[in-house]
Amino acid sequence: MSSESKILRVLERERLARKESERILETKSLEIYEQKLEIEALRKKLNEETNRKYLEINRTQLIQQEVFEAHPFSIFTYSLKSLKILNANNTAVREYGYSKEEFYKLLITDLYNDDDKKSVLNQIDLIKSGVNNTRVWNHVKKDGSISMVKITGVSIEFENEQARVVVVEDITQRMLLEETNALQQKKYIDLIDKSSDLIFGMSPEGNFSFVNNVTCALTGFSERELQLKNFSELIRPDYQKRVVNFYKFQLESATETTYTEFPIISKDGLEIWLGQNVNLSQNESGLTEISVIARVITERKIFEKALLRSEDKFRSIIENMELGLLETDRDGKIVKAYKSFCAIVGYSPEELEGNYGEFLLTDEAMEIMAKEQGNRRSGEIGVYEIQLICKDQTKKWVMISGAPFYDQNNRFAGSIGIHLDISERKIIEAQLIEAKNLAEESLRAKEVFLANISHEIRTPLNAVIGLSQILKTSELNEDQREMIKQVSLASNNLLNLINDILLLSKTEAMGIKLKPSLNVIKNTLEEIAFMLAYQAKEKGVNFELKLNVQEGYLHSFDKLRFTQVIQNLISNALKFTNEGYVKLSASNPIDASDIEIIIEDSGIGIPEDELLTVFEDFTQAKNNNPEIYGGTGLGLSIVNNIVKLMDGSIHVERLNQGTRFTLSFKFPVEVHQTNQLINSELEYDSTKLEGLSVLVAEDNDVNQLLIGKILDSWGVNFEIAKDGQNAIKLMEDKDFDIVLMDIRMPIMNGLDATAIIRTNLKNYFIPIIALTANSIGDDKSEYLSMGFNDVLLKPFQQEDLFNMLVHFSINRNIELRKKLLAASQGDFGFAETLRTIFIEDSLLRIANMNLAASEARRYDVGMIAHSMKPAIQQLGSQNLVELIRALEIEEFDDISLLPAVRSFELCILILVEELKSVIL
Amino acid sequence: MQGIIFNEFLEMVEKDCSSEILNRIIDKSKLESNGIYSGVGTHEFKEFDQLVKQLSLVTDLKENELLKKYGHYVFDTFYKNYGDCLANIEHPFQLLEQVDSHIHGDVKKIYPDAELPRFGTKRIGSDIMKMLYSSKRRMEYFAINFSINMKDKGNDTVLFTIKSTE
Repeated sequence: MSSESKILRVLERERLARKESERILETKSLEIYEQKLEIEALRKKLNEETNRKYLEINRTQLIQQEVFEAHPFSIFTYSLKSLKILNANNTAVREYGYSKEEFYKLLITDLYNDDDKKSVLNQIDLIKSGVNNTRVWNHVKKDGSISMVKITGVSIEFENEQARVVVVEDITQRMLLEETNALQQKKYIDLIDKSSDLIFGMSPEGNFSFVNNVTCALTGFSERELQLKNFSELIRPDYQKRVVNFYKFQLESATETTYTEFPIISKDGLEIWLGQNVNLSQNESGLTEISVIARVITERKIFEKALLRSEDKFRSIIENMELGLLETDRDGKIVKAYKSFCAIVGYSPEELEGNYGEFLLTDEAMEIMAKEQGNRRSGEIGVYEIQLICKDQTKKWVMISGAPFYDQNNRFAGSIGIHLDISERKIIEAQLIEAKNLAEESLRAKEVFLANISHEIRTPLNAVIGLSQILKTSELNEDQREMIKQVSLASNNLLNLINDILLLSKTEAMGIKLKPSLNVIKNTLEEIAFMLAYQAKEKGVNFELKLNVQEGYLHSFDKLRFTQVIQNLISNALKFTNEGYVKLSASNPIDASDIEIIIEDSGIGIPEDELLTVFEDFTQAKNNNPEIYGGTGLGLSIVNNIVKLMDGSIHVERLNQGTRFTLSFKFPVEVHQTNQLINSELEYDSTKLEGLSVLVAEDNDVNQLLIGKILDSWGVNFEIAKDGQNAIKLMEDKDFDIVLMDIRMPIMNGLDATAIIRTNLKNYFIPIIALTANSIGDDKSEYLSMGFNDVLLKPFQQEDLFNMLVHFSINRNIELRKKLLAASQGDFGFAETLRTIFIEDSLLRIANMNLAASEARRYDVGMIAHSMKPAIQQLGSQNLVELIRALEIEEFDDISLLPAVRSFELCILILVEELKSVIL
Repeated sequence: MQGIIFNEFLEMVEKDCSSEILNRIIDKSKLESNGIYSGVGTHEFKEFDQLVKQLSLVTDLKENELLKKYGHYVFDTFYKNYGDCLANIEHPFQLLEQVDSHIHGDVKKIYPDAELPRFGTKRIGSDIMKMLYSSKRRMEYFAINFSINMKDKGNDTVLFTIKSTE
């Protein structure tokens, strides 16, 4: 082999070796690579595991931390060596008031007060030596408050030192609660011991488990004695079975609470009634316990017995009386018919009981019974009279007193009727009613007769008196004058007689109403004296006046009636006195309201034995010859009646020479204001009637003449209408200010004429004054409701006519103006508004009222009247106020309601017209 | 670039030409490594470029022709050394498709710092494939020839159309 080939071989081997080594290297590289991968995978796994473990540890730590912080008790860790607080949870922060940082600056002993510190240190020494215990301590908080705490601890290693973890339970509240519970328990025990009721417990077999003091005291047995007894032994023997069965049933049916009453016998043999409440309960071991509260009801039982006895007693009394007793149930069915009832109707109890008894009742009675039955259900006791049909079909009147009775739940259970046979009484009653009707009938006849008489006599008399008055003023010779004087006197006497009779009949029936007004008493008496002084002078009798009354007061009394009394007495005195004196004196024996008036004379006097009868009707002293003295003998009766009506007293006495009447009154007084108006003017100021135009409707020629003369004397323009029709005709042609309307006239009477004036002529505002001689039943309001404004009674006094004319002419508007300004307190602008409002409002309301009245809605009429009243009271006349009050209280029945409202409407319309005419 | 590519190239020159030509191109190339390469090492690509240029000068063959030749040569060596990796390949497309996903993956295990070209493949039809070759070095002819050799291993003819993207 050449050297070259040798080299080539070597080279080839070298190349192959290189390749082989490269291959090995690659293989190794691959192995390394794969191992590296494996290592990396392992490392990754390890990391993951480490992280997982780490997180797990973290979580556990967090939970532990949370538990530590949120534990309901305060937890501290403190070093056993330095006693420093190393850790405290949030509860501790909350409970103690220190922040965590503040805690870390404290020693555990700082949580104790100075007194406890030494024993705490001792305790810590014990802990160090391995003794463990739990104790109650007092801990002091940051704010100084002290809590009672229970501490449990465990020793641990904490950050390389010996430490103690303590759990602190605040037991302050618990201790307090326990204390309260103990107190409560004591209270219950006290309550049971001090109760006035018997309280005890027993087993279901009836053996006593506990008893309170009252139980011992009442039964007379000691607690020990009772505990050896069975409850049933105490019960009165005849009740034992019943009571034991009662409670057996309660136990079997497990009824929680029961109540029953029974008697027990005490140790010394006394009977005691108990009202016993028994309550069943389960104790902790599931056994039934019986607790009992019982009350002594002996007294009530005795009372109940007495009640039963008295009930029996009354029942037998009622049964034995002649009263028919009947018991019905709630539907009216007869439950029990007593013998006494059966005796009245003649049926046997068997025939009645179980029936509704309708065959006993007449139709009328049925109705009444149904109504009463209803009332009784609502608890009313009624007494009523009905007719019963007896078995023999005769009818008997009975008076029934029916009373409801109730069951123990206070529900209506039925009624008891007591029947009294009043057939006899009914007959007498019927006779009485007949007699009464008869009497009333004759009384009415008398009234009608009187009314007619008064009219028939007074009308001509009026003419006689009037004309003689006028005649006196004409030129006459001496004889004529004397004759006229006699005519005047006689006719006046006749008028007086008639007036007396009328007045008496009225006062006897107390039919006259007083019309009090304010007067100065002294002036009134002076006026009377002035009128009579002339009479005395003529007779030659000395008339003395001695008025010793307090001045500065106004007395409220009926001046007319008062004058009548005094005048009558003085006239009497003058009549019976021919020489000497008549004296009128007045004084206030107590105070200004008390008035004593004495009328004394030196006349013939009244015999002693007749002093008591002088005030009776038609009585004059016997020795008085009527022919000498005249008079009706009615005077003193009238005086007596009027004085009584005025709540006064009159008293008569005999003097040595003459008679003395003493009168006492008590009148309400007011202090007299100097500018106050008093109606005591006698002079006629005819200027007040200037320019007035009057229509006089009067059929009687004489009266026409009389009124004409009077009106002439006052310078008043007037026209005469001889009947209603004529009056209306005149009114259609001419305007008048006032109408004087006679009621009784031929062709058309005053009532019809007035109605036509108001409705057809629509003349609401003209004042119409009724002239009437009819003095009985002269209810002014009746005339007012018929469209009149006022009434003038014939024969009238000139003064009355004058005043009335003044009132209805100028005065009215002045008054109205005053009222308007008073209501507006002097403000003219407001008065104007007030007037407008009143007019509009009134017209609206009156329309509504008319509507309500036409539909007979009386209540609504009343309501509207009520709403109008305040304004009417301020602006309207007294008449209007009275009318509205009558409407308001629904005084009218369905028939009279509409006319009343119509007349009210008229008055309002008049008032409206008047208001419009007021110049402010 | 991998030392094995150098060593196989040198071996091909030694075998197909002569050791004198080998020594000559090594000298002419003025290599820093003096032509000493380790099959498991990594060396500068510009030395390989230099060697190919010198051989082209000596042999009068174009560089691309040489690279084709070399691709052909190396395939055999690789097939000899790493044949078991290709045991399951039945179609040349399969090999191309697995270069990136399998073969280069294994190369990287042993030579983590090897700078390998990328082979993106997409089959357009049953016998047409689009392949995107991308590399820092212009070795497309080497790569193509390396691949063309696959035809000898399969029965199909592979027709390559090269389009450079620069």
